[in-house]
Amino acid sequence: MLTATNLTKQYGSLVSADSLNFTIEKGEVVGLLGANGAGKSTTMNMITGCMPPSSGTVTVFGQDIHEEPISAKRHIGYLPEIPPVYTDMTVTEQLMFACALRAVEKSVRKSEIDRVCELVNIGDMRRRMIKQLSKGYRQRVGMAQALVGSPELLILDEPTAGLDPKQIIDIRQLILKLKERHTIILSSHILAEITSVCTRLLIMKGGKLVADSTPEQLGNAHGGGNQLELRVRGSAEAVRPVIAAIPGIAELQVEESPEPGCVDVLVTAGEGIDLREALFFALAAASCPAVMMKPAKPTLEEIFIKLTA
Amino acid sequence: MSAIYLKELRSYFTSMIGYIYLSVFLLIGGFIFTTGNLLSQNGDIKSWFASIFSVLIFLVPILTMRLFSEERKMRTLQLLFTMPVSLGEIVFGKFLATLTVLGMGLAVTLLYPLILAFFGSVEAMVVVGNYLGMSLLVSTCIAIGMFISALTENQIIAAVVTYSVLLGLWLLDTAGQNLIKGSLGEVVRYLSLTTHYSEFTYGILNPADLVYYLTLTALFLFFSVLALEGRKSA
Repeated sequence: MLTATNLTKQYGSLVSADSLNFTIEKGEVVGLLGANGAGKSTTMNMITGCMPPSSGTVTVFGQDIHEEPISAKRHIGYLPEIPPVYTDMTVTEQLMFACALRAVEKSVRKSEIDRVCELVNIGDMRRRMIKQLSKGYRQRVGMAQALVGSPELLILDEPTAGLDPKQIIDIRQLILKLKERHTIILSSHILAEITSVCTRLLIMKGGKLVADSTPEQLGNAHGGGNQLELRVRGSAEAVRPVIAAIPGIAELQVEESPEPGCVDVLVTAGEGIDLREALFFALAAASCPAVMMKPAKPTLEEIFIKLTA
Repeated sequence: MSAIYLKELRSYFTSMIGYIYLSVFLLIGGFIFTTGNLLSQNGDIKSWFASIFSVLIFLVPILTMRLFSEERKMRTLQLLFTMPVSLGEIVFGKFLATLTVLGMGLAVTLLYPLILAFFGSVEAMVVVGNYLGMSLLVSTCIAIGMFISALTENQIIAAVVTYSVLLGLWLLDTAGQNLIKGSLGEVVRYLSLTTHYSEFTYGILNPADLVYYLTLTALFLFFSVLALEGRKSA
């Protein structure tokens, strides 16, 4: 649906996007992650045609967004970080303007506005002037504006920035509803938001793409494989030989635990080997009960910090 | 383009700027007509047009200063850049909306030659020539103001610079006549807005003058598109 090829943006010696290559397929919900200044907004501005790249191309449904902007932009609904709304208009006027810009048929504009207002839950604010709305409602008006005309591809730049917790939940639920009918690219530096809705992650650092995979693949790639974390009641001298004797152990680390009388153990098993039962019985037989056992996959935060540090 | 045109026209009247412009223009225009024509018993409408232009070069920047400066400040230019509309449509839509507001004011002043015709004789071609010249003149002023508005986020700067440029172009005629001698003076005079306006005031429709105003208007509309392209890259 969208392909970025060697996408670069340079301001003098500063490169804010450096040879980005990625393809977004229909139906995906892609999270664009990165620290502040990583180049997320620059990338989004380029793929929406808001800003021309220094080099490289962006094609949407096979059309270059800078060579054929009118036809390419028909497929895109964009919500920038600050929703672009006219404060001297009412909500209805703003959405009517968006309908006109998207060449929505006049006969269906009213029903289209009803549809998007219901989707984002701003029906009771339609007659209000936008300058009277809170940030949360303005964000929703911006979202409604992006949805007008039902574009196939939605690009949302930090859609929950500055919102209160309830509004964040509302926006997240809206995105989950939208992903049934739209392909979505969503940027954020709030990892919980990304993991709750995205099927694929693009992680940027310093203008470069440092990761492009699903959350599971990312976890496996950076998670050290088949590992278990245990907390065992006993001394390191007692526990280590018990675990080391179990067949299938590839690596073993034992260290003192913050919990008194316990040790924390990191066990790496061989490929495809499940050690949980063997560990349980071996430790029980040695009177060293395992008080905690869990897979040692790193959190997305840990992977993010590792990739963007 | 019609979406941009209608939105811009509506915003002139929801933000009060349109009402303020029309009120001030018609108040001053009416005052000049009353004192310069009615009370002076002067049946020559040309004198009114000569006076009103100095009012217009002050008022036009007030209409044009917000055209792009406000959009940049409110971050709504991003909306226009990401919608399926061309930069040319955006520029031309805003241009036509501003021209419509100015045209509304000029349309009301059609009463003045009608009043003079009631009391004396008024040459139709002189009236046609003056209104045509005035329309072309304000079109050029709008295009220049729009271009300057596209260069800055600050509306006050846009207004002041536009006024300065328009005043400068108006005064080039004087400069070419009195300050710069020889062929250079002739060239400078040729560039002046005044030089090309004077024949319209006599009802003479010189194609060269038409081309001058239309070319200058088209040039500054094109510059406005280029300025927006530059904004996108920034």
